Amino acid sequence: MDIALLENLLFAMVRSGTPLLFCGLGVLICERAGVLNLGQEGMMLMGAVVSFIVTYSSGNAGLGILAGTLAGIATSALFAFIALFLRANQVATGLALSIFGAGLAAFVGAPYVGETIQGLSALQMPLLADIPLLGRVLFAQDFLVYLSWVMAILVFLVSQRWRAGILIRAVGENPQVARKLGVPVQLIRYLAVFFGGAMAGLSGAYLSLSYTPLWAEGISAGRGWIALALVVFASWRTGRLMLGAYLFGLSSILHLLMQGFGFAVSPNLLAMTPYLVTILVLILLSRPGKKRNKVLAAPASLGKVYLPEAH
Amino acid sequence: MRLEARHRPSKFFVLFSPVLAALLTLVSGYLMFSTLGTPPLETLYSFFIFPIQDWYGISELMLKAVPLLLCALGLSLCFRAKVWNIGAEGQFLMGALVGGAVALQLNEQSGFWVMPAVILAGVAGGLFWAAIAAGLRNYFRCNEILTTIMLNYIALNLLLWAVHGPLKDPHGFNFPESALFSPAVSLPLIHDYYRTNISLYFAIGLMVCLSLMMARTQLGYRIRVFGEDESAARFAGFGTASLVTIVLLASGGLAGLAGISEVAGPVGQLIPHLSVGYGYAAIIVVFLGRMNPFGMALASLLIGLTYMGGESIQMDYNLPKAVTQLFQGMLLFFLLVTDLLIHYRVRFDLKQPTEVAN
Amino acid sequence: MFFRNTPIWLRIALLLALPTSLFAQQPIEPLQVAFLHENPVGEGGWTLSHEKSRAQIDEYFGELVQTSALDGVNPGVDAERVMTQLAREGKQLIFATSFGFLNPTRRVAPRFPDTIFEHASGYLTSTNVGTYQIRAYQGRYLSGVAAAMVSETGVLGYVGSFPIPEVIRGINAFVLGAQSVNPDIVIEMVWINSWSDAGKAREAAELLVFNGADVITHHTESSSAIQAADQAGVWSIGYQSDRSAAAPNKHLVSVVHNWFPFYRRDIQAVLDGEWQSHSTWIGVEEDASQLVSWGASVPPEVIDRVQQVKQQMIDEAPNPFVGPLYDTQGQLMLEEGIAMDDEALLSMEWFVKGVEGQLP
Repeated sequence: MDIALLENLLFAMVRSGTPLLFCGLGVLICERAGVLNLGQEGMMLMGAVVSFIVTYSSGNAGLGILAGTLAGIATSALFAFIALFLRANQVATGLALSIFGAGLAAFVGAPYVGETIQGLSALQMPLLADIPLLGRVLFAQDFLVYLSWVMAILVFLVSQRWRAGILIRAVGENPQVARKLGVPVQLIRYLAVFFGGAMAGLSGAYLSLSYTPLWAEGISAGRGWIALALVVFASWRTGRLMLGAYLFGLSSILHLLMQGFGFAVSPNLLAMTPYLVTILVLILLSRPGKKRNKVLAAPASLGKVYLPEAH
Repeated sequence: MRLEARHRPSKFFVLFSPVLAALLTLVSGYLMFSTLGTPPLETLYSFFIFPIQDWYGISELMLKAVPLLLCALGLSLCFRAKVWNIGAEGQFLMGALVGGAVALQLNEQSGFWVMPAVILAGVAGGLFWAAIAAGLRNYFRCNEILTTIMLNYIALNLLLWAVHGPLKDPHGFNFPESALFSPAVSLPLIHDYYRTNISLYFAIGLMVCLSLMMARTQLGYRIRVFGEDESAARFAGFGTASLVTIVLLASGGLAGLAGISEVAGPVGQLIPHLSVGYGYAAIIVVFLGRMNPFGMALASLLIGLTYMGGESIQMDYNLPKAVTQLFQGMLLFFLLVTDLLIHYRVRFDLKQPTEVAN
Repeated sequence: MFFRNTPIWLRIALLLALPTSLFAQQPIEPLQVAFLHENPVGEGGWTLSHEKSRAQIDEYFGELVQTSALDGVNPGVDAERVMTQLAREGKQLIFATSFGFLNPTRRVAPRFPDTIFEHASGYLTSTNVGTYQIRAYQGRYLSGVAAAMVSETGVLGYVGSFPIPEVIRGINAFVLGAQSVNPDIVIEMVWINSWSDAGKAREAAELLVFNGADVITHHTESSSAIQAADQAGVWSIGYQSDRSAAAPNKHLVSVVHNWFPFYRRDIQAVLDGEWQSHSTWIGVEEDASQLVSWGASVPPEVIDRVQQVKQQMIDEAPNPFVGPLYDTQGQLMLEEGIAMDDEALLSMEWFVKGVEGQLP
């Protein structure tokens, strides 16, 4: 394989993996805090449509990105209100959010279908971008790709290095005990959900401003669900999440690349590999007969309703 | 404002909260349509009443409600046992795929056994898909929420692969569709003019069976106890693994039945976009119907109506079809909110410290 | 319809009293025309091209015609109900704009002999069902001429959706047009196996550019392949609707479906009471397949040459598929001097020589 091809491959991998990375980071923090929000698709679509509309109307992509993030947070606030404040079933609330968000996004976006905007331009770093093989991949991306790396580092530090990570994990493992130790369980969960909303919103903004700068109904194409799988695949670890995001991204376009080499593989069979691999990872994480692997397994209270007054 | 736990669940709100949720959805719809500048009452009429103002509309509503109800009946068993099966969509698709593949094999056959064989194949397809989730939970302790989501997407891609590949109609000009099913492998219609087929009888029969089972049998009792308190159930000697397996298999089989009823019924062939989200909408039906078979029948009619209403207002007022999803989402949101009143009282005194914000 | 304009209490009363009167025909009413689309209108593409023509109809016929449209109709289970409802509501002319509506149309039409059904890109007609489509391959051929003239690398890129005859016909015509300028030109294909996946269309276009293509065209709903080509600094040819906005720098031309001539004629025939079942296939001679929005930087001789070829097509040689034609294996598929008939065109499932890439 020549260098130019490899460079292009890496570039395409980062491009198609970025929306998954954004959304996955949000899911990771949220699930670490024990909250299962299945409404990723709805939040992502709201982020995509709002950032597109704002960018189109104002001509300012920065404003669009901000608005998309806020739209994601606002949508997640709906989830937080119902699932955390009112303690409703998280699975049902998340599903309602994914159906409602998709509908609302299609609804408000309808007048903007067919409009075009100038996509985000690449921010080239002088000299560094000319390094062979990795130069373009690392130093000639657009703002949102750099931001996704910053967020990944931040999530890594928060969840694996800083004290906040211990608190989040405590809340996710056993909220009752955490509360007895004086951890503000609900507050941490609210913040985690809002962070998830912001990340899903950014993921949507990347789709409608950078990846394919246009708005179309269902532009997320199931990426919210892939992100949920991705976090499981990554066993709730940031490094693996990043690797997984790019691998999953690559697998979604692999059939196109293989056609270029004269191989015909069913794109549908390829499209199911991320899910198959994720199930495989789930199996490996929880082999029978062994003790539950605390570092790698799902947070113990994931998806369970937390009743503060119950204990 | 704060929430105060009731000593015992409010019986009134158990029954009334779905009605309240529906009313709130209607009010929101009214407000939404008025802000959009369409006549709100007329639009609501067009959404909720116009589609079912005659026998044809009612027969179509039945047709739409049957797959929702079949999926929901199975899901309610799972949810009662606190097994969070999100996989009705995948089980539906696998029922359609396996049943459809068998139907294509038997397309030229005739005989009394052909139709039952096709239906059984569909049920088996759904069963098999749910069995994977059951196995993963029982042997590997994999969270069924996560595995069933993955299995939904695997099933969808299997279906897409099949209609783009091995099951594609050889005379269909490369369109990703299977051949049409012959009458021998299609479900008989109840009446020639309407599209409603005998799957309606299956749904009604199963609805009655299920309510009898839950109320009268040992198994129903076990499922309820298991859902209330898993450790108590274990103490009483109920096998966790076998109960999980039973509810998941039942749910998968019913969703598979819904899938094959759809392809061997109104659709008549395998196509890429078989499901319009029945498996997910059925989850709304379960919650809205209070996991009660008769309640779920009513709920499936209401959710079925939201699909037809979306078409109707698009025709009459040129509103986007997304209103269907908006209504479905709102309905579930409002229900989850009003359900709170079953277990809590809302107090407006400010003196007591709030318990909720930790 | 009169029922729609009455107060709600009266409607309910009517509903209870006279259910059969609801569908009574009102002779002075405008002709009720309905459009049924499988995909959402989208930002460019098939459905949008129909909707643009519908807007022209509204303007042209004014009071005489009342149109309505539904998009995102699932062809599997919903289309049959929607068609039946439309017919029962008193729609007199129903345009089903997607091939997927074949079976629903076949089932519904016999039940409503007084309603006229028109099925786009279909092949089954009956007393009240007509079919219509556009010879889009003619526009494709012309754009192939233009592509070969501006290409410097001699490689053209084509983003495909599904290998159905409609798509294959377009590819082959594009190749033949390009070969009429440069016999050695190569067309690279990438199939994305989706109509609407914007991300994959973009990735496919990037891949084609990487493989040396300096003109990109597509047969997908989304404009993202055009956007990607433009960003990569190569020429792009939009399809189905005017995509020039997606390629501000180097748009070559857009090959547009213009359904208006057919719709105008068809509706006029219904208004005059002269409608008869038909199987219509119109092309450049009626401007149904149009080349619009030439880019500012396109050399004038390219536009002139294409105009000449188009005039030739209208005057003497409407069919670019004339033998000898060979497939990619070099096998003779059409004898010398013979023009391919419509039946063979409709079921085309092979590539002419010069296409690189196989059927997925």
